[in-house]
Amino acid sequence: MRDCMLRLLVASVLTLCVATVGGCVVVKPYQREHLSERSMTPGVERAEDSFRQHWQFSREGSTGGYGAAGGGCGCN
Amino acid sequence: MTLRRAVSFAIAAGLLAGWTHTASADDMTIRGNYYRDRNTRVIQPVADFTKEYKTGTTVGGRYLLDAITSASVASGVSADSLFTELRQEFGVRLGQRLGPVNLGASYSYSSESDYWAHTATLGADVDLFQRNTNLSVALSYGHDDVAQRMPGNFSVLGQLDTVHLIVGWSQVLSRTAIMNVGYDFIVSGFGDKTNGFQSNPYRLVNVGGSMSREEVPFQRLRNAIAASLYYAIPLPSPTVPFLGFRAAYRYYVDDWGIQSHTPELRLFLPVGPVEFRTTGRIYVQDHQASFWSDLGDGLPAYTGNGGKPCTTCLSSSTKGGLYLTSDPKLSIFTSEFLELRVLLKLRFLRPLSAWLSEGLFEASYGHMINDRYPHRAFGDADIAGLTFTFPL
Repeated sequence: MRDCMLRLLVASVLTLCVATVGGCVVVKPYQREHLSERSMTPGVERAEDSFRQHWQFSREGSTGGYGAAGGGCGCN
Repeated sequence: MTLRRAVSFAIAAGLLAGWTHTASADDMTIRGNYYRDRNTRVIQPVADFTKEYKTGTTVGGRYLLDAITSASVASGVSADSLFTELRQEFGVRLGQRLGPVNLGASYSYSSESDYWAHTATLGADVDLFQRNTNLSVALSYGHDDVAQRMPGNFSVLGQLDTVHLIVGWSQVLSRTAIMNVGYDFIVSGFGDKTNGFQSNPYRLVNVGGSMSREEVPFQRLRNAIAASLYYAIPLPSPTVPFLGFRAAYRYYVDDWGIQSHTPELRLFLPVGPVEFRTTGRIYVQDHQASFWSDLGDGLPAYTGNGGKPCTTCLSSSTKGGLYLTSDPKLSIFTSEFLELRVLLKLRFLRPLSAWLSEGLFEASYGHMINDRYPHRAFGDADIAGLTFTFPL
């Protein structure tokens, strides 16, 4: 039951994303006032993201999925 | 003895993110990281810079030092004696913009007394539809050497080769929303100890009442898919111009049998020169490794004289073996993480220095708790950081 709910959640999110993309319009650069804020920009906080994934890798059985990963440690 | 040592699969594909469309600022970041759980304390200073030239060429570099203090059998004691070790890592990045296309390459090297890792990455991304869409791909190769260092004894135990493929799609949905989707496929090891050594050389396992060294398969095939949505709600106040959200979800599965779900929510609230950010994250690992074994009390233990087969492993080289592990990360558990970060824009320093006034100062503190065996093994964790970012 729990698996079914999770699969349904994932499918719903992906469907929503695809459906939203299909209906989106082109947003001009000058219209991205809020999207250009540092906090709304993915990947801009390299040092923080790297450390976060580093300690998560040492405490969790999974990795990846964020387009970035720390590496090179004997922290298994 | 507690944790660490041994394996990592060294991946630096994330270094590429530094010069894609997502981050093109010319800046230098000095950061101090702090991590502490019941057994381990890490203090990590990091320096990272990125510079983009008019030719479209981007260069970047990074250096970090890990000072890791923990109770370790490598220090020559059985428990409760602290041992501090240093790990150094440096990396270089080079990128070139060619019209809508960004090409990048990176290399990183990490060294500690019993673990050495090389990672090389190639990547590309392309901007489409007036930069409303970005598609990216990165391929990373890592080679690690794993050794065991005990008092009076040093031996190289094996190597680990890793290939990591990342594909990503970023899409502007509206003036206030942007979506990211990514997929990672990771091959860790290729079937024997000269290319797939992934055990922790210091981790022992209870087998029929006696302690044996951990043995895990020489290959692991990992998959992760993640999606995130950034959304801003504009507010009619010049002091508080918007309220931002980032909702993310990651699904992970590998052929050792591990499966996990990771929902995460961030809130951003800028108030004048200060921005508050809170992060809430839940990690649910609801499937354990197929060769994990406990005696019903959650404590890892194997009966008889042998381990268990990896019934979920895909390659023929890993299917035939019997494996032993007491790694808490390979069991079923849940963890929760809550963090608060305060960012201060240093504009008020303009009378003193125009350069400094473009800088940022950040301070963060987070706390993680988990349940079941990882709680017994690690306890809770405190994570903190201080960052100063300034333009180059």
